[in-house]
Amino acid sequence: MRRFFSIYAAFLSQQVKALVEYKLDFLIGVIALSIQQIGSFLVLFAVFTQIKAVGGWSFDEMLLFYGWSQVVRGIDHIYNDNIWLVGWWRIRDGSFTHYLLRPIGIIQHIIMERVQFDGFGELLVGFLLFAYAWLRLGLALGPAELGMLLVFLVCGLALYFGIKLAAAAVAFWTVSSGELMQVAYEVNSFTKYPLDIYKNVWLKNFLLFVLPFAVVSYVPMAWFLRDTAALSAALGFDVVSKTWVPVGMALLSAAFVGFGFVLFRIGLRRYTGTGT
Amino acid sequence: MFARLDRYLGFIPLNIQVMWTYRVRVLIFMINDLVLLLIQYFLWSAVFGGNGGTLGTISLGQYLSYVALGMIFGRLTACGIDGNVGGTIKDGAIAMHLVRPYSFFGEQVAQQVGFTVGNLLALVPFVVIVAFLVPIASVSLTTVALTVLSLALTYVLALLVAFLLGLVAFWITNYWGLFLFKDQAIALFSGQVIAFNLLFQLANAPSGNFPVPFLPEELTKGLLTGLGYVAYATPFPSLYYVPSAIATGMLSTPTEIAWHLGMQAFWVLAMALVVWLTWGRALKRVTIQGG
Repeated sequence: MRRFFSIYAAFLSQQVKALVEYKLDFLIGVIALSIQQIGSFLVLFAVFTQIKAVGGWSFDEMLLFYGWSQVVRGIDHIYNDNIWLVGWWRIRDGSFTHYLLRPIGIIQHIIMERVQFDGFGELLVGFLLFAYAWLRLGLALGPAELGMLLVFLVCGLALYFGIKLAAAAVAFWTVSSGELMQVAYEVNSFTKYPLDIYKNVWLKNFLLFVLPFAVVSYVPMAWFLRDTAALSAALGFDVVSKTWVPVGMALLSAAFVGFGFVLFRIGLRRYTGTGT
Repeated sequence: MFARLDRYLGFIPLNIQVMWTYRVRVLIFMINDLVLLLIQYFLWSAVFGGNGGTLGTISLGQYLSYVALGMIFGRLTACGIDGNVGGTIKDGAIAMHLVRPYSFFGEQVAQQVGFTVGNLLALVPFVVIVAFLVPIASVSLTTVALTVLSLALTYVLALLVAFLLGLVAFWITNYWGLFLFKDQAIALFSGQVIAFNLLFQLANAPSGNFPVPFLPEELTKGLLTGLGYVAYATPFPSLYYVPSAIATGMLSTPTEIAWHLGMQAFWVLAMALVVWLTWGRALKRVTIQGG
């Protein structure tokens, strides 16, 4: 573990050098992704000058869902962006081979090879909206809540990680799987808004169980805002008790990470490189 | 420039073929669009539903048509040449293009036409899905004609903007960030996130609700109106909003329509001028390094 972090730090310092060199590029990326957030916020803002609730949720509650979804997405974007290259190019052009020749774990290497600083735009705007909504809603913020937020954050990140890894691993069979990754990843856009507005059972269940991006933001935030009965009604099944929700989430996320790893391992055995 | 049209015609089937080769990618783009459409569909259904089915003078069906048409028109006018132009400049291949017996711009236009025809085929299943999802109101022949005219202007403008952005690669090292920036700026200022008609109506309606209570009402409305005005000062509404707004009747009076079409025509001319000037300056910067 210490070795991992010391190598990570070495990689990071190289990237910071590049960042300082290309300040303008960094700025453009951050601003671009912030504009995206501001646009979504503006729609909500404009709409809520006329109406009081959407799908049973107030403006501040909608912001809470939106903000948290962008916090998780932003962090994932920052640390786990290099896997896209694996899906799109690395296996196709054979440059994946260099991961096999290094004395560190392949997935570790993929992660530390690139830090995507653009993601800070998403993270910052997301966090500000989330913090504002949290305060406005008068939610408590003690050690218990912070602990729960951390659990939810880890679950959300694990889900992203598992889904992206599994989709990228498909490239071992199909040479390139960037498109598949894109589709799987794009589904996360659904989590900007509460699940209740999707008035379609199939879609709801898809977002809860198949590509469970609803677990990233909707379920955790609804967990803070609603009681057991309301949660059960919204999710479409009896959650029995509030303690079971994070447990279920953790199991689901772990299953996705496990699936990603297994698929990656199996695929790796097929990898032959291109000889270049 | 188009004196010998047949020089360019060959690029069209070539690009259709390219699209067909990358059909999985085309399919993926369709699924992406569908995801975005579904989100918009449910979001706006919930929003309009929360207000009895209408907001101002706009009905839910009308707005959903706006969103769906916007997506279809967006695909039709989507322009892939900025990456082409930028890439050609970056790797120096532009030199080879300059010595060919046809204009570089003409080549790009022909490529774009092929790309659009390819896209047209891919749009068919998408249109079928949209037709099931969104109630399509009957429109008059005049409206159809005006929409087609507006769409044609959008197409030309999109092409010019993309070519210009590609040329910027002469001066900027990392045009990828710029393209990302362009996409996001377009989303915000073109009417993609919210139709201007709805935005102005929301800003001017007496508000019964303040989403951010400590902001005074005037400021809130000023901000929304201001965003609309800023957007109208850019070419972006001409790139997205106008054709769908005409088709769905959000722009309905002859004066409104004439104004918006005039605005589109203005931007086409202005952009053509800018492209022409930039191309001249950019050519001076080409240094050919022997290859």
